[in-house]
Amino acid sequence: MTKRIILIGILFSFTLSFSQNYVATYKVSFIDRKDFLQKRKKSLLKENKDNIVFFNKIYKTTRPVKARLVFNNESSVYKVKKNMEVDEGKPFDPIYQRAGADRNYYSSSGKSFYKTSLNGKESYVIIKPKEWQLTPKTKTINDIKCGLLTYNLNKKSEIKIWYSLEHKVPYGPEKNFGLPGLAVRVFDRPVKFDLLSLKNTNEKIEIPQDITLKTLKEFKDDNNLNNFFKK
Amino acid sequence: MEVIKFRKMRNLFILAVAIAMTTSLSSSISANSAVNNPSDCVESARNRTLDRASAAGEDPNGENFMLYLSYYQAWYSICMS
Repeated sequence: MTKRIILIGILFSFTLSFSQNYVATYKVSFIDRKDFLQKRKKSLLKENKDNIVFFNKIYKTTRPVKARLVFNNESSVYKVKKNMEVDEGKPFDPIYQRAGADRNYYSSSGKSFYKTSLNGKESYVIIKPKEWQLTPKTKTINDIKCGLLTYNLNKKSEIKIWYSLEHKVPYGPEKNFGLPGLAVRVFDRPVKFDLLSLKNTNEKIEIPQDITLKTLKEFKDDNNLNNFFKK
Repeated sequence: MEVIKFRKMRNLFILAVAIAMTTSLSSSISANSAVNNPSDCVESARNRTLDRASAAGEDPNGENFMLYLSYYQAWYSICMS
């Protein structure tokens, strides 16, 4: 009888931790703000001297933003916080855009997708899973033991992710998912995502239901945007 | 008589200056409207976006398409403003 009570107790506490929701807060900023802004200014001015207007309006005023990843063992929702720094009237903010802007990112039942709006029409676009390259490197970031994995975007750049060896959930900020552990620090040039805090939360994870998921190609076809940027 | 002649000359000078200023202003307006033509701005924004993607070594039609679309829209709106 005593054994049965203990077993029920263990199962109950397991169910609680399994269904517990967490919120991870990330700070998104330039990896090297000064260097990036100097290079950007130089290349913009090389194209055209009038580009100084664009530089001053867009790049000079950009500030770090915060983003929240709410998750449990089954699903996650990632959203970027709009704050005072992200001016509503600003046509483009490099850090805010790189952080994910107003696109909400969802992960559920092994699938990941984001919500985007174009001309007032909402669409849900599937994110292709990445083939992450595990490395043997480890280090401790803010008392969390981390492993390193990478993903080659192209010849010029790669995404580097330090993931927690202690929190075995496959989530990370923005389009990064399918990880061996929670993302603690992400380098995705020119920005980085730093985990600021990890807390329990009562916040619900609301995954959109009865939606049509589209591939990026289908989304572009629907909006006549295929090969929009022709070379 | 001399005073009247001087006044006439002065009025003519003011008129000439006014005509010159008006001409220069109208030509500058037409030059601006040529720059802010929507089709020119589309072309310019698209080229600048391609340059940015090329500098980053990325395909603007690829995974970061939405990011480059926002970048393109920013250039377009600044060009048109």
